Amino acid sequence: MTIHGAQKHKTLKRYVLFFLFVGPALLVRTATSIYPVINTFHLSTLNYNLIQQVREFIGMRNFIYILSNEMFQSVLLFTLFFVAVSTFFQLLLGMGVAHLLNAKFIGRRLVRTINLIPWVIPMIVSAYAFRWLLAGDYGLISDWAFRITGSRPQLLLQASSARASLIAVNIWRNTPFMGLVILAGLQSIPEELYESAKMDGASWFKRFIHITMPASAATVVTLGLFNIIWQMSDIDLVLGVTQGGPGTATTVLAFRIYQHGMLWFDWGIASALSVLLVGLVAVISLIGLAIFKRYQFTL
Amino acid sequence: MIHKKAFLAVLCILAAAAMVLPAAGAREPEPEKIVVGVGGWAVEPTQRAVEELGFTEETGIEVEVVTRPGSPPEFLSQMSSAILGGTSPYDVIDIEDDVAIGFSRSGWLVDLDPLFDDEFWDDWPEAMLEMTETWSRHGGELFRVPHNYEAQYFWYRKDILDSYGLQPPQTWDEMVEVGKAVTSGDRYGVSDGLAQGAYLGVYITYLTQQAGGNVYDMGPEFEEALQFLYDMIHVHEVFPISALDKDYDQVNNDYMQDRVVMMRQWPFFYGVARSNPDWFAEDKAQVALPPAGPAEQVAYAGSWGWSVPTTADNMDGAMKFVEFMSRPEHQGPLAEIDTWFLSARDSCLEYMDGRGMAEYLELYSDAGVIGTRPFHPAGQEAHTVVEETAAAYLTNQMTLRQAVRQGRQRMADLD
Repeated sequence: MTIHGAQKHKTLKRYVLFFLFVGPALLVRTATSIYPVINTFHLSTLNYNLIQQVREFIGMRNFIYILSNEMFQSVLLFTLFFVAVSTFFQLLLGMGVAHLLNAKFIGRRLVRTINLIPWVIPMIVSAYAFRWLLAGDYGLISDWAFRITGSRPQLLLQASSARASLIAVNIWRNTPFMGLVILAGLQSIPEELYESAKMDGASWFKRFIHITMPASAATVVTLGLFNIIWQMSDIDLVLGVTQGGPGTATTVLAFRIYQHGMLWFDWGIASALSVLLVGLVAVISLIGLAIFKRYQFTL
Repeated sequence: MIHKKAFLAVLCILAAAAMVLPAAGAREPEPEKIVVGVGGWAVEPTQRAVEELGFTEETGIEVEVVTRPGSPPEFLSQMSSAILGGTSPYDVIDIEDDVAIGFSRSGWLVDLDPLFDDEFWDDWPEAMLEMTETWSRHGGELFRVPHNYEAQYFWYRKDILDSYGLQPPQTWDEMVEVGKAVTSGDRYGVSDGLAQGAYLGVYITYLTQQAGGNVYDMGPEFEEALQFLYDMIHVHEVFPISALDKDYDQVNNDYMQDRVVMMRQWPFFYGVARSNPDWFAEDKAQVALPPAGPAEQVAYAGSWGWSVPTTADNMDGAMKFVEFMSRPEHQGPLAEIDTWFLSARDSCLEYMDGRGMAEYLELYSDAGVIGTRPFHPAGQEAHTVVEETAAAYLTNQMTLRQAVRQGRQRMADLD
């Protein structure tokens, strides 16, 4: 065998080994991720309903139907509202929780652990628990209101209060995790920065604005971004607390996808809605990344 | 360090042991078994039925009766994932009308026609045959054998009405009047389970039929039904708004805690009421004919029945079970075990001879008030459109006109 032939053989062997090791992972990834995405795009161009037994190519008609439909518009608007308001308050309160947990006091570790309880309870369990708490006739919250005001509010039977309740439960559930991650960010800020600022006479507020905020901005933006993405695709809470009602007042996009895909077997519309959801998440991610770059902070 | 030869020798010994040991410890083959999935309320009656009718003795097949998710959405989710994955948690399933539509159109249920000859259907009255044709057949195939025939009954507290010197209402107007007379404090004249997710749609369908229409047409009768319910809740205040967040168990509970005087309910309440001996008395759970709407006095019937998923593990065993449970000679004893198995089949009514819930089924049948359940090929989706339209109006999110306009548009989109 010539030197050139031996080298060729060695290269070939490396390629074979490479595909032998990487191949299975590539195959699994393709089967579980790339194929479903491509297939979802394909299904979104079909009128495909198992129950009505139709499967035909209709191009972009699913998207046109969704975007021009009054009901879907209101679902889309509420989804954005739900995610935006929830994330804003989760970050705001998370920041507060992080500061409290960063303070030095006896039992700090225990409090930090207790803080995480709402987050570690499975979402669907919390959701059903709150459904009972908020129920009009027998719910604990309604009972408290009755003892104070003499009337029982039907929180889940009015659009505004059902929406507010859903957002409140979502904030209650996710704020502890936000607080914990922001706390990790706070702990990475060198103490010397605060000491120098103190020596220069900076107040607590100024230290917060000029040191804490910029130093934790990257954490907050990243966290906010992830949270938006998670919440956009989450259905447990809506399924457990309101079932999307009253009417469609608390229906979010992901819940509609679940209904169309898993309950009504209307896979064309479900896929088109999924594609729209992916598009929304992509746009939000791009905006988030742009903000992230802007707020990058070097210590 | 282990020597290569020693390692191979150990490996050979282990392999040989793995082959020999199971054979040495082999026992008699496990008996044949099927898994039957029924609603939580039907587990005990089904177990009793299997034991008392001697299915295992006759066939040698053991039956495990398990609870399937009660609400259609949860059950659909469970089964669709399983069937698309080529499996099924159950060999036989007990399914309701709404679920049957989805499963049959998806081709997920086995044709049961070969199990029965023409003589078998002689036992079935015309109304049940008509219902079976609409709700249990598709493409000429029988995909479900109904085991009950459930009309919706008008239950009322005779003891309370008697104390006011009142008779059960005959019309919608009378229902409001009687409701006004008996509503006080925490007690309401009329109620029903109206939570979204199957319950609300049932009641709206019932009222719309009494107004003379088909709920899926969303015509003037649908509007009239919605307006009537809205007025009972918000204007006359004889119907609790909290019912919009309740299922049947909760409204039954209200009834048995003396917070409701009249309600529409399925026949299973007969057993529920009697299973609460501290509360129950005959005059606390009486049945009257349904109050007539503007068009007619009617209460449609629904049914549950046995089906076999195409991905069942033990298909033969499942088919034997369905055939066994559907035999004419078993219908009477089944209804005796529980009203869950009460149907209008000749063999069943003859055997029951007016006992138990059969008395009311005969009352409704003789009065000719049992109607056919309206059908929509889109099944659950159409039902959801009805519910979301109704809830939007009943919770004051839209005017009646706006809600109905949007509902009609969505219903038209389904076609």
